[in-house]
Amino acid sequence: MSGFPTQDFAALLPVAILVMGGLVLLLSEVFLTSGRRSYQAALTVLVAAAAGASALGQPTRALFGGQAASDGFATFVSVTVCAGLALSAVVGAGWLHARGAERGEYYALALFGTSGMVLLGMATDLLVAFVAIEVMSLSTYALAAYVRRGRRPAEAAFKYFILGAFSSALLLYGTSLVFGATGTTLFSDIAKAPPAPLLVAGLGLVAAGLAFKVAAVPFHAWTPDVYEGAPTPVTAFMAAGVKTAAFALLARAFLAATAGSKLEAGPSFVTVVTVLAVLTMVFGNLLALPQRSVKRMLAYSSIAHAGYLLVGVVATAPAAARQGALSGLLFYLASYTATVIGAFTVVAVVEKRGSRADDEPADAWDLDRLAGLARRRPALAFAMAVFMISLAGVPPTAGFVGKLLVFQAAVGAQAVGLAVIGVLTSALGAYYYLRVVVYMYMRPPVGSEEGIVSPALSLAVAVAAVAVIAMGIGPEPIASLARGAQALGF
Amino acid sequence: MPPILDNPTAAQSYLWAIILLPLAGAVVNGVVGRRLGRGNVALIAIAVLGASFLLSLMAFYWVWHGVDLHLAGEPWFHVAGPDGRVMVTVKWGLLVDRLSGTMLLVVTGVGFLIHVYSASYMGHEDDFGYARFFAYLNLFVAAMLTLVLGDSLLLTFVGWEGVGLCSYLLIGFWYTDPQKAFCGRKAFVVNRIGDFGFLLGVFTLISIFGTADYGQLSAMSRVLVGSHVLTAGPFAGWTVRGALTFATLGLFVGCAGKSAQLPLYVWLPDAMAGPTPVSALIHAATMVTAGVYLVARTSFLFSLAPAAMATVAFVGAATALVSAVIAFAQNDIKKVLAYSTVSQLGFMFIGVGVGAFFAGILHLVTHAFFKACLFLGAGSVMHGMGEDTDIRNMGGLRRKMPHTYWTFLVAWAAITGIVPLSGFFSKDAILAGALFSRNAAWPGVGKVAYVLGMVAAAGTAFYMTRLVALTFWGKPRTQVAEHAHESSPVMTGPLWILAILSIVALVLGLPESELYKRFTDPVFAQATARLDIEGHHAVWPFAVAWLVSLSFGGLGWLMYAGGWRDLPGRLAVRFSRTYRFVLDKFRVDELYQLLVVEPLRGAAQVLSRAVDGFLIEGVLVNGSARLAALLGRAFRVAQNGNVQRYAAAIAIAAAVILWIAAGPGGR
Amino acid sequence: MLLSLVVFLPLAGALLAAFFPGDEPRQHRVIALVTSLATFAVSLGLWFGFNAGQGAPEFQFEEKRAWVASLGVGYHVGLDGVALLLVMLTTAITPITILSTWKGVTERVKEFMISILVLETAMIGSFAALDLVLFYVFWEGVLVPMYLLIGVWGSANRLYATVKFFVYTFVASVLMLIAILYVGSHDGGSFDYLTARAGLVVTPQAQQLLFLAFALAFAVKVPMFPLHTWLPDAHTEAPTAGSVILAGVLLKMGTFGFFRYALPLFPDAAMTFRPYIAALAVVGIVYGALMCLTQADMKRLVAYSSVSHMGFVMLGLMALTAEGLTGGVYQMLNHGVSTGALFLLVGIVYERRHTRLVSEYGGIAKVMPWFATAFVVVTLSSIGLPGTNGFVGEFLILSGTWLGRLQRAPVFAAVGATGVILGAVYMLWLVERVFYGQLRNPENRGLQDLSLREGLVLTPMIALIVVMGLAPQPFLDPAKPAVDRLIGRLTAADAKLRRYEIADLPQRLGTEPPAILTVRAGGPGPAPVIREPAPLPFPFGRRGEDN
Repeated sequence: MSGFPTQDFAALLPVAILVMGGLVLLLSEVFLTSGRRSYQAALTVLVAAAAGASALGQPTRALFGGQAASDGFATFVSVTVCAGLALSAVVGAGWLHARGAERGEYYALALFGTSGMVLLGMATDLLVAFVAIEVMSLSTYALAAYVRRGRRPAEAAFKYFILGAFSSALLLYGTSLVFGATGTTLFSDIAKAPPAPLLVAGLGLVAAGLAFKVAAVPFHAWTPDVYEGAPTPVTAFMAAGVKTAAFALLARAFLAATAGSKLEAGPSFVTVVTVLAVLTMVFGNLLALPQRSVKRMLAYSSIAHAGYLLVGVVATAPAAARQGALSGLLFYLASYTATVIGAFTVVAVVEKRGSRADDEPADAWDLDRLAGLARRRPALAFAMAVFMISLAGVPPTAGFVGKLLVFQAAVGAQAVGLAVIGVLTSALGAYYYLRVVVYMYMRPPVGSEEGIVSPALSLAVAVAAVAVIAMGIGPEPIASLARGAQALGF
Repeated sequence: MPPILDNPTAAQSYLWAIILLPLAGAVVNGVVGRRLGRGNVALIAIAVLGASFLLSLMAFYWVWHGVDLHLAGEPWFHVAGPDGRVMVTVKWGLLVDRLSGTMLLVVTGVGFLIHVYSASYMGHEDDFGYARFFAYLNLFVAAMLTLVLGDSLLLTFVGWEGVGLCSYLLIGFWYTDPQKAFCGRKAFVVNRIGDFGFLLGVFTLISIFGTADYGQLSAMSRVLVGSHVLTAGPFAGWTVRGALTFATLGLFVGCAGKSAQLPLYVWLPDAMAGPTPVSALIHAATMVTAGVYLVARTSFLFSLAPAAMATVAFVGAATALVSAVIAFAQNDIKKVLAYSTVSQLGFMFIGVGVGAFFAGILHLVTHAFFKACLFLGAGSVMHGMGEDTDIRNMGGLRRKMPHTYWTFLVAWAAITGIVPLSGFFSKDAILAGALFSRNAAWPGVGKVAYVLGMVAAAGTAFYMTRLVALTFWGKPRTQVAEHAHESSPVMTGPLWILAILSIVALVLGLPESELYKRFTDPVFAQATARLDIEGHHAVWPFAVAWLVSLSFGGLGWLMYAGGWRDLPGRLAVRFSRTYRFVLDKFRVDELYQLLVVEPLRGAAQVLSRAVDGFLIEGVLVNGSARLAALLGRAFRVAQNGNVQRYAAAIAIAAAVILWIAAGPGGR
Repeated sequence: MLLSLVVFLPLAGALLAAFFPGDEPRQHRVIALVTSLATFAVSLGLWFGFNAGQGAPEFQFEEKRAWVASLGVGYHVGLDGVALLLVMLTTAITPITILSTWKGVTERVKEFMISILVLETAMIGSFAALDLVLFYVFWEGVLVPMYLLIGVWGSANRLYATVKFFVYTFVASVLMLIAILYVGSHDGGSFDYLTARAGLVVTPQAQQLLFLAFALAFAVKVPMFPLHTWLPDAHTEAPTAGSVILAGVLLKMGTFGFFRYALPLFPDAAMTFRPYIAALAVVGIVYGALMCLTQADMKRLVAYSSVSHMGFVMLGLMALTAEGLTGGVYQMLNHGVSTGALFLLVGIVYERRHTRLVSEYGGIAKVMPWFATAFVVVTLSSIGLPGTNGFVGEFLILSGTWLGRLQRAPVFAAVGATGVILGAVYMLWLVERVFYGQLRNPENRGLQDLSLREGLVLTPMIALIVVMGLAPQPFLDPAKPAVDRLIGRLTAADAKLRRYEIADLPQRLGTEPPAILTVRAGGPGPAPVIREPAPLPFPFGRRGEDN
């Protein structure tokens, strides 16, 4: 602990920008109480862009005596979450505007949460990670409950909070055990630490905590309820950002626990994550099959995708495949961010609104809401089809390239079995993704509501769709970026 | 002299015209025929045939002078292996030797006459039908000529399939009658079964010789010894004799299909559904004799496979007898002739089967004349009778249609074998050849064939006499017969020509000169040399054959025109069950229906239900889909929104993780 | 460059169409037709530019660019003779199908035409690709537009059919993706086809698994018994254009896959599984034919006949003789033409009567003579009558199988040949039930014969049937280099096996030379000396006797 070298703070610039932006928006709520709030979204996008840009320039080095790392990996994560933030801010703008529920707090919370995510992408220390997670989680808890008076959001937020707290407790307890065993919480030291039952136990609890954050089966149970209950833009934000950040941390932690030379516990953590991956892929897809609520289906699908990402995490174990696996993970996260935000945006457009401004009836996201969409709003339907195909992993879309990279890494890491399970379950997934297309293109419309017509939402959908296709046809720029993104220390 | 008559190469270059002319006629009539008007249609059709007949005469002129015309044609398609060896190739090569030359004349000559006859006979068709008919008929001739002239088994097979198609189209010519359409399909399918054998035979020969070219086959088989053993290929370990027996039997299956031999003869009687000229041309004179032609053409192979020859002879004999018996009880004039055709084809196969190849072909020629004459006569009768074909309604037509009657009578004499008409000599040559033949595989087959054949001959005499008696003699038995009228000279003309031909053809078969034997000797020498057959010079078979045909012809006269006229009726009553059985053609069709068709349909049904429907679709495909959905629904139960339960799950899972991380048993 | 142009021209057309308003169907029909015709015109450049001579490069019009460099995935395309033939088939059939839908498709014409054009690009691409991932992208790219074609413009039961089609084929091909990844990441391997084919070194077990992964994907596409059940549903429910493209081109992607990938990449495994695949092919021939006897729906019947015909193709490929392989390739084209034409014909009556049930028809030859003529001609080609393309293919396949060194080759050939009989049975039965007999059903009285447009659609098909039947050599020759190379490659692998593992391995590939060259005396007596025969000028008659 050599004090805080000030130049290290430069690396935290993105975080700072995000927090500042959040504060500005809060204050704006206090002072600028004019009716028009569209500037808030714009401001958020600007801030996100600035943060992302500031993350790009960072030199690669360890910060604060190795408690955090400013490296390609972190940069990629930061840019990804910032992009996700920007996109979901636009979505939020349109959606909230349609509900007349626009408030600065919304964006402020999103910005705070994102700052946590960015920090999480940098964290190479269990305590830093914990703090970052809490920053991220608390704001997402609040966001989940953002629309007041709503019954479902409240319930969702409550569940999320309780269980989140539970998992944080696990995480913290694990951290303390690790500290007790090794006297440090730095990943780099843990990797070098001599094996001790206490250390293994601690890491096990940490793993459990992280498994909750990434919604791996059997830690997934909260996901469907929360994703369905939360306001759709928030769901999009969570599905994209939280997953990305959590996986960034999980990857670093996993490397610490497995790639270290000393720690013989390594292989057994590979086993742990392997088991989690298989369970997550299989059950995520199986559970998504019978869903009629598109939003819920997407929630389960996000679980399934966590499974594929876990395959990527496992693949980082052997040094030979590590770099490929890491870049695969990053690309997958980027592609998933674009795809899932786009998908949820379409859901946000078509969802049915209840009698009261902010409470959705049970069938708000039934497949029938999408029936005949291709006739009513062809562009929207086309975009949704693109997202679904991408989620199913069919070329030429970002989802396909992501799977390609991750499974290639798995094959390279001699984990062919995992890859096979992965592709088979994703083929299973094709069924329920296609059902959405079937409803949009091959069924007559039910009811005649147009859903929300808002330039903001259309913009978001368009951006997402273009990104998905572009990353599918010309993945090279981002792929090479991911390939270049070293994770410091490994 | 025109160039084609002073050097063979010039003549060869014209060979394709013989085939292409009728083909062109077919195309023209088929595409624009309906607009040309029937006069032009008939003119075109007849003209092209006349032209190719003249060219055939030219070709024959050369073979007569002992020069074979062989046009080594361009390859149609061929595939060379990586080593450059070409095993499978089909060339447009044509060959006219004394065998195919003979066929050439028969096909184009008789074909020409029948075209002329049809011009009037088909008069009552509408324009479209008229054009269609002649298009098909020309197409048939083209295909038949390809079959005859092809210089390799493969080109022959092309023609073989082609005539099958035309026969299908022409039998089903009046397609609006579902029965007729069915008969056409039956003919095609049965022929396809035969072609299956043909193909296998060809493949076998290719795998043995590496070629299907007649010339190369005969050249190579010349040096073969039956007892030698093949060491390579699918027939490794087989003797040459065995392999060739397999091959030739395969070919013979094809012949049995095309030439309506047991057990594949069933289609020919039904083929009478087609217009009568078709029956005359395709199902009597030319196409159905293709099988005989093929056996004769590959005689050098059959001679290496005694077992195959024995089979040919015996099948021929059996067919001759069986169909002759069936013919006893038929009352449809065309059906009687049909069965008699089957029977006569049987005789031809006896001939080629016992090694008297020339006799088989000779009978083919004479039969072409008199059977065509008979069929055209029958057609003329049907015209006169207003399309009625039941001989029980006829009688006394002698006066009504004299031309038809006399020509029919000549043909009758020829087929029953009344000296000195052509039929007698050709048939006698066959039977005598059978009697004096010897076969390594089955020494007795010649005698058996002789006996069966003799009985069949007796039967022939009987049922033909019956036919003539019921049709022309006695008194008209119906109003229609009362008012029957003679047909136009356009129809009777060909009748007379054919009748005369079936008389003069006797010169070919005169026992002393044995003109045709000597004529075809070069073609069959290789085979006969191997079989070392010496010509027969005994006289008594003549007498026997003559007596038999006379006596049974007389019997027929007695029973249907003479004193015992009530005998048939009484017999029919006395042995009613036998009579019915014969009347129903031994119920062979029903048998096949039972043994082949129904099982096939049944199997298909069962498979589609059990395998496609249940096993693959139900269990594998939709089954797995349902399973997945089921599991999905099942696990939903855990997802009940109960926070405590979620927390419990997390706790348990964490414990499990600890256990795994610590390694089983802990570390 | 030329090849890429052919590949992406349809896609460009689709993009162009996207900018035109959807409410003017005519424009979209024209755009699609013009685009596909242009594609065909350009592809003629390939046809005439291709050099099938000795010493010509294996792959021509080759292009190689970096695509996803960080993965080692390149944009690498090129054509060998077989791919060329199939590309030509695609570019030729697409305009015909588009023209055939001129009147039939009135709903959402824009999307329809776009789907077809995208489909064309994907199909051509999958034939042209020389990079495994690129191939997979095109291979899967075919699924979505076809899925839409069936699902949006299909008939009553289309949803079931289209989802079944997609999931069935998707499940089968994802395993191929894993195999591709394995090949790409394994030492000596690469995503680039040529590099992988040259360098890939894997254990026999791995090779077998890889082969099976590829084979499964291809076998479903072919489709081979017992993986065929998606086909009848897809065919029956698809709109005419869908069926035509499905039968005409899509199925060939499976057989092509065997020819291009499964066999050359994994020769030893291929030799191991060859008898089983051949057996399945033969079963498919007979089984498909039997199924045809039980169908009441015309399209279903034709679909099952496809199972039978594609069985022939697979049999030819598995014969691994020049004759069999060439015949197999040729039969791919034949099936594309004749079955495509059959679907067009069925579509024509369907447009008039809106039923595919055989029982609804009967005797309509009276009212539609030209239609009947066309149908019979196509039928003849489909039952392989000499003079039509079908004969050449089936004959080559069967003879090639018979002459091959597959265990019990004659049995395979013989059983396969029964398919020729059964083919005649069910096709002629269909013709008889539809066209012959009395015109009973009053609704058929008013049926119009072929319109000019329909004639225009059918003429090229029938012309192809006759031309390919009478002058097949121009279509056989391009395939020769590819076929020879494949045999050579497999033989080499076999030889290696013989050298290192199994010394007394019997010859398993190529054509048996004539048995007559190796006869030996059975009993006593010297063996005859028989040399390769020289064709004799006058085999018969006197001169024959002289020597």
